[in-house]
Amino acid sequence: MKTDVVVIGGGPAGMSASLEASKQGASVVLIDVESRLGGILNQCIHNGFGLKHFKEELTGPEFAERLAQKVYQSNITVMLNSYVNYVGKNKVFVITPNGQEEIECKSIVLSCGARERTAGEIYLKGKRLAGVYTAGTVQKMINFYGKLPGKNAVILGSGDIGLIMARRLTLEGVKVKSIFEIMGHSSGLRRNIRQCVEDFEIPLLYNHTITRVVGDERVEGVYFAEVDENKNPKLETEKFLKCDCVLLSVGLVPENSLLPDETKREKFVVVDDERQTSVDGIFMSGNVLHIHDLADNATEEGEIAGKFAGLYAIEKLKRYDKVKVYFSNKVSYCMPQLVNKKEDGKFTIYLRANDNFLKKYIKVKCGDVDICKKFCIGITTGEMQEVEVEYSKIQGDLFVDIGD
Amino acid sequence: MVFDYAVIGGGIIGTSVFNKIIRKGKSCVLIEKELDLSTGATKANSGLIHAGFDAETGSLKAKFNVRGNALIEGLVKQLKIPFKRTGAVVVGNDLEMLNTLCERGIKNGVKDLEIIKDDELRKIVPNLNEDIKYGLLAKSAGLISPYMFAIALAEEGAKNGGVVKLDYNIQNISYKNDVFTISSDIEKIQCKRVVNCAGAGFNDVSKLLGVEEFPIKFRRGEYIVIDKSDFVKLSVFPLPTALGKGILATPTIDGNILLGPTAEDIDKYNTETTSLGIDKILNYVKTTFKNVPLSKNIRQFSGIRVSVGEDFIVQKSKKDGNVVLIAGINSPGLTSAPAIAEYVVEELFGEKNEDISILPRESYFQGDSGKIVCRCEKIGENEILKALNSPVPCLTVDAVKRRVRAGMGRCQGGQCMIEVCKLIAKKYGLKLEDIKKESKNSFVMFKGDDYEN
Repeated sequence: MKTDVVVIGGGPAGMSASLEASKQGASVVLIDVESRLGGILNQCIHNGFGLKHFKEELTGPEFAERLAQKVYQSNITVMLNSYVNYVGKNKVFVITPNGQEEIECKSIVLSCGARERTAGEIYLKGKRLAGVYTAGTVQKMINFYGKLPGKNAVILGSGDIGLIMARRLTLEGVKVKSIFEIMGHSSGLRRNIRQCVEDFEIPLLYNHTITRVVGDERVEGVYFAEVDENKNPKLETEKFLKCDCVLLSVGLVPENSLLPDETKREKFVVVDDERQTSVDGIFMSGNVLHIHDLADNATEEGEIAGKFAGLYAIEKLKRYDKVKVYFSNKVSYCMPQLVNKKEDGKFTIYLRANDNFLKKYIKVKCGDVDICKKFCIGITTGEMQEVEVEYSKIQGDLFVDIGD
Repeated sequence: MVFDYAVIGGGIIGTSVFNKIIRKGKSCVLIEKELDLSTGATKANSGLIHAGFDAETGSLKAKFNVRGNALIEGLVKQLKIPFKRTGAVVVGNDLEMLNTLCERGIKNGVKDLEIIKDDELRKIVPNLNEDIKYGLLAKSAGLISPYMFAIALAEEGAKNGGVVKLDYNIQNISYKNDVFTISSDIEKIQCKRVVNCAGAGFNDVSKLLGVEEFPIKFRRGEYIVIDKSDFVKLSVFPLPTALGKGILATPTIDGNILLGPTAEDIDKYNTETTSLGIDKILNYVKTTFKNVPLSKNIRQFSGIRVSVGEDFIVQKSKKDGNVVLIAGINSPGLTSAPAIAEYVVEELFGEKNEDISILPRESYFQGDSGKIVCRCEKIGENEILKALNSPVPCLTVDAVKRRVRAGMGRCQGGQCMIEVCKLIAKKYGLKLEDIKKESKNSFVMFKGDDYEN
């Protein structure tokens, strides 16, 4: 099979990337391993999606459906139940239910999302019992199959999925006995802490972690303790809490194993403002690139990657000199890390802060000049910040900082 | 019917003996109390086929290790399971001790042993710290999946007329007119001869048989599993101590890296991982290696080694000549298993006829994989279905995982566990809430309505 653009992953980023690539006049093949488009949105039956992108509040499946309908109304070829085994130079190797297929293409958009960090990755101690699951697995268990992980739950980590699941479990009649967060603050959205935890009076203990999971065949309880400044448990504070399941919401990891080895990586894979990686013709968008707070943001990123992957494939992508984006120690990362020195128009820098800040400016400097300054009442580590920059003001490398 | 033999215990020893008996053309039943084979020490060890220089010359361990190592190649070919002779190296600065080990190995009959240093050592272990100077290289060591080895042996036996009884909780064993009757709550099995290789449950079975019990000790070994990496390409041991072979770094046959085991004497069978154990491993690897890919850490587990004194026990019961006792099988038990089976069947039971020709086992990995279920390990629905339809029942999520590796990857089943539950449920006509992770009460999930208050 031959096509201009292959998009890997049919979640919000992949669907919007396919639509934009197609709009440029490129032929597009969209591949997903599941039997329907939508990705993780399909299991997110709660609302709160779409406020930014569709200007109205939708559930996950509704959000997915809107994009999927557009995909099916376009000329995009959709391959479902298909797994991309390997990405080569202008080639994608796919395992389909009927065998293997090789697709020749000119550009590739990787939109294959993220996976959840596991008990093993955080060295959770104890036995490997039934009843310890990632929050996303439980979300699928409840929302797709109507099954429960237990009736007395403990949640480790206060990422957004954990917060959402605290509410979901409570609504399903499961007692959420406590949420433990090893950090002094949550990495989740403020609205989720309010709507999913505080409104349901679920205890959320900061600076606490689980030290041991105990039980015979299933989980029967956990030991938990306060942690010191180095995040080591203070054993004298260790207590027992009876429960029959443990949900983990301890972070997401981009599932970028398909990228060629030579792709340049820092904390995340290095891309430019068009979302192209250091390997020509390979673009990325969505959680596979960096972890987004909102599906809306992943969708917008998909549009950017799709547009330029489409232009690249039909040989209409202009080349420019590039500048680097550096950042201060108040910022944990910036995306993109490279910017094309275009003549006009705007682009957005996304960043996460290392700490919480009140009434500060996000500043983008070029040399000694502030080329952009944005006032923020509150900046939290849990919420991605964005700042818009005009291309015409770029003289050299950029420096992103938070200050007065 | 009255079986010629009953083998009690479905670990690597039990499945090896079971397989050997079937190859001698005799009838045999393999009895396991858990829902799957290889759920004890067999599922939680380093997965190594040892060369045989460690054990005291003249011991059963030395004899069975070297013989087992030689038998393995033919066996894995027939069983269609992967095995690689990657070699192993013991590293350290005590040249004298390495030489002693080397000499012992030669006395034990180990071939291809050599002391290496400098560039040669760096070349085979590039990530070894600079201050470690010497190594004893044993080329005959290799890698195998211990649980897959046991399962394949049982599957081949079952395909050729052997009977595998899982979830068989023995309540009573009686002996009358040269026939043993082994009863559970619901069933009776009759046989002429019995092998007790019940591992940690050895004494429970001996008690029911009215034969010798031994003082069994438990030693816990914790491990860290790292996702696929070429950090080490062969097993790297420190110099051995009284507690065992020490913490090693080894690839597995599937490409993962194992760091461990620790060695901690414990009173009760307990497979918990502990902060103490994990920290011990982390500290050790940092002093021995550089570039340890700890960021790719995906799991920890612990295995329980049983021991009865220093050596293996493989003998006929002095109280009943129709019973063979196999106990205290710790390292190198996996390597020794084929040799122990050969010795038990041919020497102790006197089945000296040539092996009969038997039907080969079928691999799960033939033809199209179908829709991919486990994304990390690239395991397809067709492969899981083949495992579910193989001659030994595959009843649990962990049973599927051991057979095809669905859930063994970096997401640890986060994405495929429920899909695997669905396939098991469909195969056995069960509901999702009936599916278990491993043991009888390890239900993965519950029905929603149970919790209406």
